[in-house]
Amino acid sequence: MIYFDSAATSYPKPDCVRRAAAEAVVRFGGNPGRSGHDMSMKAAGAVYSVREKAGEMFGAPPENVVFTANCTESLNMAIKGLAERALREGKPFHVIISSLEHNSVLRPVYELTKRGLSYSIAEVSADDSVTVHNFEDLITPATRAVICTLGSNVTGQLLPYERIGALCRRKKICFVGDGAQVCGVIPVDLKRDNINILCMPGHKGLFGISGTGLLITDGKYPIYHILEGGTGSTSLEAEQTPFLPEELESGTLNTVGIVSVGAGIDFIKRVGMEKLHDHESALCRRFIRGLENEKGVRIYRRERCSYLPIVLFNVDGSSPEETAAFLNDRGFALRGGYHCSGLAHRSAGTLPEGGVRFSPSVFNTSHQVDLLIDAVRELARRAVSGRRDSSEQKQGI
Amino acid sequence: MNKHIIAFASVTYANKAKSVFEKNGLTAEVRRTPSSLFRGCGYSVTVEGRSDRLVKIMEDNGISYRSISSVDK
Repeated sequence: MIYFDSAATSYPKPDCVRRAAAEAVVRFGGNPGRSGHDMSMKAAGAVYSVREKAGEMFGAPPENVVFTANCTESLNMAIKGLAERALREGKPFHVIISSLEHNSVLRPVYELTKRGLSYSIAEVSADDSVTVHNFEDLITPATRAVICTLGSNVTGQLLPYERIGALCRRKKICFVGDGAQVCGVIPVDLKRDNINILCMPGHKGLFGISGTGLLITDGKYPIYHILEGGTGSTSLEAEQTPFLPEELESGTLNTVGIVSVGAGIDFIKRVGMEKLHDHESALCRRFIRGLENEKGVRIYRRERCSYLPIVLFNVDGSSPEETAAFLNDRGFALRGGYHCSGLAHRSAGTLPEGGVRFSPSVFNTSHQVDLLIDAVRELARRAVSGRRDSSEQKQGI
Repeated sequence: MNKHIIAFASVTYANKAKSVFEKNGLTAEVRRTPSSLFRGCGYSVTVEGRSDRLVKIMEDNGISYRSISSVDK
């Protein structure tokens, strides 16, 4: 199978990641931060070294790197943790999200409306200045945070996140970035980009195994814990451990997964993030060039926008699910449907059926993209021919 | 040179201290805090060096600690 679904999760994993995960099962079997024996201490040391690597990559101290199970968990912790703090302080809580959000932002925010909190949706334009203006227009005295994706998981459109961050800093509101598709693909830095809380998966752009996520904070806007339990610290207190990262890390950590993320970060540094991005972007350009003039194929890209290496497309006469199933039968893995983001599909104009997402990786080749182009052309021509036959039948030809 | 045990509130801070001590050319080891120093879960770093230098390194790197004790006579 030729895998073009990297926006869902990275595959294959780099050799160094596979080796690191396999070795971690054997070498780091102790529970990190829970015991005093050598196995536990080794595991804790391994986990800490990944905090250092991630902190260095994203511009935060290692103790502000929190490990989670995935980006959705990170976002829930950030959104609900900020809301809980505001509620406990008796402050209003209004947040602004973008029109391209994944459900991992929309749903926790929507859930909070049941507790009397409110949110607004800023339209993302093809013009970055208009986008920033749209966010600014929605800020009220009750606005506590902007929570938005740094780049769409559906169309790949990049948001002007450094400018949104600057706006938030100026207005003294928290900026929570959903870096699900961006982290590991494009440089992101909390300080430079004025991001207060950055959420990401460990298994996409960072090449770790599934079941890994990170929440990285600059500490300026404290996050109230939404989960309590054992942290290996302050054990005689009933109150949750009051400092990072343990405050937000109740329960045993996924040592194997965390170590794999560390190996993924090493891989990115060794190959070079720019080189990885250039390769994937070149494959996207090749895919677009191969299909943009094909009758019956629609590619959803806007002029003047910057994009991640993701391309959304559709084939006329074939639903996204049918297209993905057709391609699956020919050995290609792509995701069709809504990609957990009704908002983004509404913005792209692809409702009610959604679209098909092409998201290559460094491990894909131009030849593989050419094979996919041929398969999409075959489907498009069949669909056109099918429509013609149907039309002729209706006309009794 | 004095050997010290420095106690921390968490294993993360103990490992951070170990890391910055090593970057400063010192040999450090993380271990469980002896119950004579602290009751409850806690981790310590054993490291050789003058206490004022150790404290300065930790302060420069934003590392808070619970206690620092000399173990050499």
